[in-house]
Amino acid sequence: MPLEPDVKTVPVQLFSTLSVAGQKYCIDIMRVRENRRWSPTTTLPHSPPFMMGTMNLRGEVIPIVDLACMFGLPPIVPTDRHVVVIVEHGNRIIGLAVEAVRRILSVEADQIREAPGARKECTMSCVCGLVTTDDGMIRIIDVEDVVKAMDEVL
Amino acid sequence: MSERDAIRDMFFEECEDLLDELHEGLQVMESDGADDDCINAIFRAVHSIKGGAGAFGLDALVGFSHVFETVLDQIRDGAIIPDPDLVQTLQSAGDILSDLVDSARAGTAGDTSAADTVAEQLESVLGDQPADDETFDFETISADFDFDMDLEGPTIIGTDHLPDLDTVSTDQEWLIKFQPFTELYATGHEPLILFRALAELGEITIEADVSRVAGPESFDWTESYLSWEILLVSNAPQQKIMDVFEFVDGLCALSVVPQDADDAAGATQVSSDVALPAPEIVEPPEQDPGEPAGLPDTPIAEALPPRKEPPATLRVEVDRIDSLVNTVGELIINQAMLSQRVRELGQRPPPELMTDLEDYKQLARNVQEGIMDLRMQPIRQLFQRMNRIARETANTAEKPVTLELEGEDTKVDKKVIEKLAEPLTHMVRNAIDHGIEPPDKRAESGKPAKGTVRLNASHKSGHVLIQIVDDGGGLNREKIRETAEGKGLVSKDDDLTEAEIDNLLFCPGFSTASTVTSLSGRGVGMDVVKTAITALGGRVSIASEPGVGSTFTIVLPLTMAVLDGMVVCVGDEMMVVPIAAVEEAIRPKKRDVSKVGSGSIVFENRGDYLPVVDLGEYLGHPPSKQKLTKRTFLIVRSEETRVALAVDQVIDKRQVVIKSLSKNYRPVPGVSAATILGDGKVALIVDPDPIAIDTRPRKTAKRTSSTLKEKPHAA
Repeated sequence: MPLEPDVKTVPVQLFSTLSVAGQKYCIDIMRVRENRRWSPTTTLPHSPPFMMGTMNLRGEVIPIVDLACMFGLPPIVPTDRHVVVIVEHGNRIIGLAVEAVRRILSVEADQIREAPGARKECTMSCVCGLVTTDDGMIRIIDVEDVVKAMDEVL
Repeated sequence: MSERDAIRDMFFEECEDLLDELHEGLQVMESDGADDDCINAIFRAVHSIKGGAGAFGLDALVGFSHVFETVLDQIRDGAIIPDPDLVQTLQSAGDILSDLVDSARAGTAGDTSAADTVAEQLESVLGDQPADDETFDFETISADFDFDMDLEGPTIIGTDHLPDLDTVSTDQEWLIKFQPFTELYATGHEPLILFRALAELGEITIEADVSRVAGPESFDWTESYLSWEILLVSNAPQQKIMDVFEFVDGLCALSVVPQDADDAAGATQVSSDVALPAPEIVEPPEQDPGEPAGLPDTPIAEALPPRKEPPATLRVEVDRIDSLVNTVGELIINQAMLSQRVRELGQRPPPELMTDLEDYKQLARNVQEGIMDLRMQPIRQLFQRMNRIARETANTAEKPVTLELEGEDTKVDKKVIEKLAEPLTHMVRNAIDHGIEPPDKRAESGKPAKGTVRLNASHKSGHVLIQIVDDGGGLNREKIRETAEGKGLVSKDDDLTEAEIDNLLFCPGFSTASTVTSLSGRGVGMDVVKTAITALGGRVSIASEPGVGSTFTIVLPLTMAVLDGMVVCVGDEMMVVPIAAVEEAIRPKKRDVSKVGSGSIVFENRGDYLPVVDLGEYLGHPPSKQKLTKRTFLIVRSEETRVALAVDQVIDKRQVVIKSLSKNYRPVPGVSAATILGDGKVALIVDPDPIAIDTRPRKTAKRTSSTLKEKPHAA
């Protein structure tokens, strides 16, 4: 992404920060298509527990993932206040159910740290990096890994 | 895409049509003999392809079509009489031409050896004839650009009677009849200006015809009521007079006739009319001003009889229609949502609102049907392609076979046609390779040596029915059973009905031909056909009688965009079961339901015991708390297996728009797709086939004839 050349020499990436079961996460904003209010889903048969079901997005049937559940945190109990972050991966559109969408975070590339550990834990496999901000550490979600986890046949 | 590429694409699109015409013509030639129209059509197609190919420097195509064309030309001239052998050669030439066009389009070299062989055959036909390049008549078959003279411009009467324009130098009287159409005024023209221009040419006398002016009660002030007769005395040639009216061309009925009988012999018949305006001449074409005024006794009108025009057509990319189909799907959903919202308002809504909503619903349906119809095309093209398959298969298998086509005009969704090509090819090959017996064997059983395979398409209660009927030996059930046992598909003890044995053909990994032939036994069997048809939401079945032949029947949905479904309630959710799969919906009586073992439940229906499957449980919902007898059983059939699907309630029967679930998610067993209901929620469309298959007795259990025994398929 070419950015304004005169502002900074270090490339800046924009993230949308989310709250998942009380933890702070963020997603590359280029992946985010829109944010929608939670609406009831239709159960998907034979699906892993973190699949909340499907939702109608203007005529498109999209699967909804409970990020908290996928990350091994207590599953969300959806209310009207919950938000579905609509993300794109290739041609596919997927909804990520989260507690809230906070703000846009601008991060310089050299601020991003690699996620430590052997990536054993389910959470870790979907976190591709960490950012330190004034409010503390924020985990960067790799959408591709989320989709991979979704596609894994039980 | 450069302009040249675009034109090239256009050429190949045109080629498709031309090749269709060509093949159709050849087919007619084979069955009904060659008449002039037919040969001309074939010739024109080949010639047009040659012309276009020349423009794009496609030498292989030009070379071949040149030879082809030469032969056709000779046939056209009667120099060669097409005997059956020649017709065969022409057929192969047509096939080769298709191949060459395909490879030219793909930009590949293609198989030139086959083309050379056929070209030689064609040339050998020519060899007997005096080779005469000059007989190619390029002029006579130039493209169909017939100018519709009879539709354009003001109609000119009496040009035939005109004196030679060059010799006109003395004053002459012209009678000009001028009747403007409404459009003339609407586009800002003014008769007065025209009259002034005429006045510059000579002396004019104008008389207005006010007879058509409507009375005060029906007067329309935008209508054009007036017409004029102008007597012009001028030495100007007729063209000059016509030029005055150049800019109102098509906006008026105009006639310019010389009045001087001395100068223009033959104009007398009109000149006698001068005093009385002939009413039929000024009769305006009120409905369609684009048409020339009805001028019944004009020589020109007789000379150019209205040509039979094919209806105007428009080439549209399928993608654009598909996106319309999607949008209209949204419209239908939106309409359903609106209706539901209004119903949810509680109080009785105003009747006007309900009427409007009802109208909206009707209009939305009409739009939907109209757009769906755009995607439909006759199955003809696909069937025509089978001619070639049949020909090639018959040649390789050395079995003379006639392929009969019926119902080629049956319209089918374009997508369905595309996906049907492969399974149909396979089935036609199978019918000839396995179905039809060799000629000597046919002779033994008193059948004509030439076998017949009939392809038949028709519409039946919202479905497309395609049958492949052969008059061969029928299925060899013993051999099928033997093979199936050999492959471990069934055990020796299994008690199978004839229909069940026939259906073994569709089992994966089954192939009856004891020797793998180069034609059909390519490691893929009928199971591939079945998979393809099932993917289209269709079914395929067999009926066979030993010694008489076999019939394969494919039943397909009319379209892949919508589905007639039964909306059912399962737990808290709505689901859709395709109506095509539902035989009946029954509220079970207690005595018909019995338990077998720990959990299995069977339901007695029409003398059979059907396994009961709780649809909700099958799809991973918690078991229903409702009593079985309070629920509804949908009897669904998947091939030979019938199953009772237990649902909580049947809500409605309606048409739903099919939405892909696997596009954003992944395929789900037991679910074929999804749809969106009136409340905006997603509902899953149930696929009964895997559910029924899951209930089949496992390998360990012996097949109980009670659940499986079915009447064999009626033909």
